[in-house]
Amino acid sequence: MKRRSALGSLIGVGVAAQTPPSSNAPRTEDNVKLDTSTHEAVADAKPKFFSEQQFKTLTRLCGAILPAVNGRPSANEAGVPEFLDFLLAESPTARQVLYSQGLDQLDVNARQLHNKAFASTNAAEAAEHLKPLTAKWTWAAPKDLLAKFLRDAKNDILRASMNSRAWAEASGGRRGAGVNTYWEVID
Amino acid sequence: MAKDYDVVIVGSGASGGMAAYILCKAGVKCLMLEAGPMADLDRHKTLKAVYELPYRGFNKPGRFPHITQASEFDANMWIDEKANPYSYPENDPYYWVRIRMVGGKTLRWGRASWRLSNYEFKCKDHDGFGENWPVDLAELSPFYDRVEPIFKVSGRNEGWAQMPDGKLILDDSRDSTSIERFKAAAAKLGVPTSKPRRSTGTLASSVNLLLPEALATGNLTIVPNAIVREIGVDSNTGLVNAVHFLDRRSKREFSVPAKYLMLGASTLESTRLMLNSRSRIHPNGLANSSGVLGHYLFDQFYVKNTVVAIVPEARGGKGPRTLMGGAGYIPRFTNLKHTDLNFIRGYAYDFHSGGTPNAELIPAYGEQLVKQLADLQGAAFSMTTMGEGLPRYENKVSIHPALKDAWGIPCLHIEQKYTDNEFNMAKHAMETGAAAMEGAGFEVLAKHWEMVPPGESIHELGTCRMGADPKKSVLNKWNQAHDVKNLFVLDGSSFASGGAQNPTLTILALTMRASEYLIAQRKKGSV
Ligand SMILES: Cc1cc2nc3c(=O)[nH]c(=O)nc-3n(C[C@H](O)[C@H](O)[C@H](O)COP(=O)(O)OP(=O)(O)OC[C@H]3O[C@@H](n4cnc5c(N)ncnc54)[C@H](O)[C@@H]3O)c2cc1C
Repeated sequence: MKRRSALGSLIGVGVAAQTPPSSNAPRTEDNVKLDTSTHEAVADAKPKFFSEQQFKTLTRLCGAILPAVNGRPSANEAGVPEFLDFLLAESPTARQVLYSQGLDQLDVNARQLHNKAFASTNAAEAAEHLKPLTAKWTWAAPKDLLAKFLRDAKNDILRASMNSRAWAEASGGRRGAGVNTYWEVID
Repeated sequence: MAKDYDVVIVGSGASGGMAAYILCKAGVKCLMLEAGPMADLDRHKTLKAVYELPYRGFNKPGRFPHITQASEFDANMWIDEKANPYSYPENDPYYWVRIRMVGGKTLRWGRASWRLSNYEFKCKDHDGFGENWPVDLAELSPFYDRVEPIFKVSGRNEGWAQMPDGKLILDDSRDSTSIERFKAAAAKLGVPTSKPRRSTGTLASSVNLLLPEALATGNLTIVPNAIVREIGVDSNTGLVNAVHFLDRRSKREFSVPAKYLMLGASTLESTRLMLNSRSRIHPNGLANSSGVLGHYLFDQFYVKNTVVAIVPEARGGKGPRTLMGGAGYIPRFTNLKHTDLNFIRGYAYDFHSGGTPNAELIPAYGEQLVKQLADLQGAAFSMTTMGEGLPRYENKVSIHPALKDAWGIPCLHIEQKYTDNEFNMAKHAMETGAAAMEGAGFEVLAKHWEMVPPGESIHELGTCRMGADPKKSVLNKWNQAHDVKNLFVLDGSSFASGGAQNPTLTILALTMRASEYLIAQRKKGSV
């Protein structure tokens, strides 16, 4: 699966591949562009939101939703749990509650059914808890809390993976990452 | 020191830009006040990879509660919702999508460029609902004829009354076979299909197509960062005589005299400005003796991806290269003659061949999901519905008693609800779309009829409508206020109905016509 189409598939149907517009100002001796890196690529982010147990559950969930396939990194290799920890810390309360309760629920269910944490489940055991992800899509979000959480988490995990530096590197570098026009702050 | 201008124009988007283009070329000295900054497209636009963004493309959570179109790439382009708040009833959210910058929303529009037809202009004659426009297609056609070449609109003329022909760059590209199959299946259902109609070029904005020529005349002065807060009137005549504005950055207050005022601040902003301009002579807001200013708000409802299907032959990338790709348009086809449907008016569709279905639609995860996505890559066929929302008195905007923006200007309270007419139409669209897809031999993956909240289609219209009767409308057929003859309101607030068509081409044509009317009347000295 090519990077662009995967990204397109997450954004929605019919979204045209993002073609970079013609280059900005021409490079001259005094208009140098130096290669730089990103914070995530060189350092560990400070955990902010999930409890230790929730983070373990999320890591297991990420592993189930997007394992490493066809030379692409897994969600965990793409640093998705750490990124979602940051994103959730900044998110509106309703979303924070959905994630916290959803992760806790997964763990409670696993302990009830398998007598172990969700984080320790094998593939077959995890599958029993992830059944809502195999239900037919409906426009309205599912009423059940776990089903709703899993639907949102699936989208977030895929998107955060495919938008990561690790994914870009496996897809041919910066351009493979979906380079796009960025609007700088005006004023 | 205040300078002397013939016309003050508020806003620099489609309507303000076109007013400047016509007036300045005719030798009229114009001052354009624009609330937003002027972007330097070389300096303010750079290329970035999504992983270089701090939120990996998710955007800062909560930054845009109502602008679902905003991405982390273009976040700095959209209006700051905190600085520019508005309200709505608790359970009826309204998504007001704004850009405040020289060029307005034309910096970002999708460019679908359709004419309205007499099914819209003379809607009341047709089905008894609402009000006719005081203009018809024959009157507006010469202006559409001139706007389309400026915006280099491409498409195909079909000779259909509900989709008037235009002066188009002919799109005679061959359809892919999936589109051919879809068109044949739609035809069996009595559903017409055509090519998209779009303004072409890399930008297609007032910034590159209208304002440069206006500036080249030497007759246009553009002042960015000038937020108009109130319109002043002569206390004897009630005519506009001044425009009061603030510097967006310093909040310093200014006033400029105005002989003529052309409002193009966009649909709800122009109405807000008029409602905020109360005086002894206009106690309910400027030019509001009818009491309808603020009322009859409507838009097109959108059902995004109403039907998403898979073209089976395209699975696994196996189909020939000619199978997938391309797009098309279905104009309104319901209620053109009397029918017994459970709604009046109609809807249009955009359809697309190609792309991969959203992972959300695929009931799988893990390796299974990745496999399925690979199998479905490029195999999707989708339709989006755009339906006519009816203008109703109770859908309205008013000034909030307490809420103010960051510049102390009172804000809008917006009330708009869809009703059974829109809901029934949306259900009909879903069933018809799915039937056409199935008729073409496609596998329907998902279908639904739930529309996005009012406003989200970014086709907000009405609230300062034109009409023949000054008791039922604010503007006459020239976009001129019935009560205040030196005031013209050019944007979509002037619409009396909207059809299913995207509105900008009509905004541009109306503005061109109103501007030429003003020029002629000035010459005669009769405005
Ligand atoms: C993503 C997107 C896709 C779209 N796709 C389509 C499409 O395919 N087809 C179509 O027909 N339409 C489309 N539209 C809608 C189209 O952009 C608008 O209909 C059109 O731009 C309206 O023109 P306007 O002049 O009324 O308003 P705008 O273009 O919004 O311009 C209004 C200007 O007035 C300024 N202003 C506001 N208040 C004040 C004030 N108080 N003082 C001074 N200045 C003020 C604003 O800053 C703005 O620059 C789309 C819009 C968006 C955002």
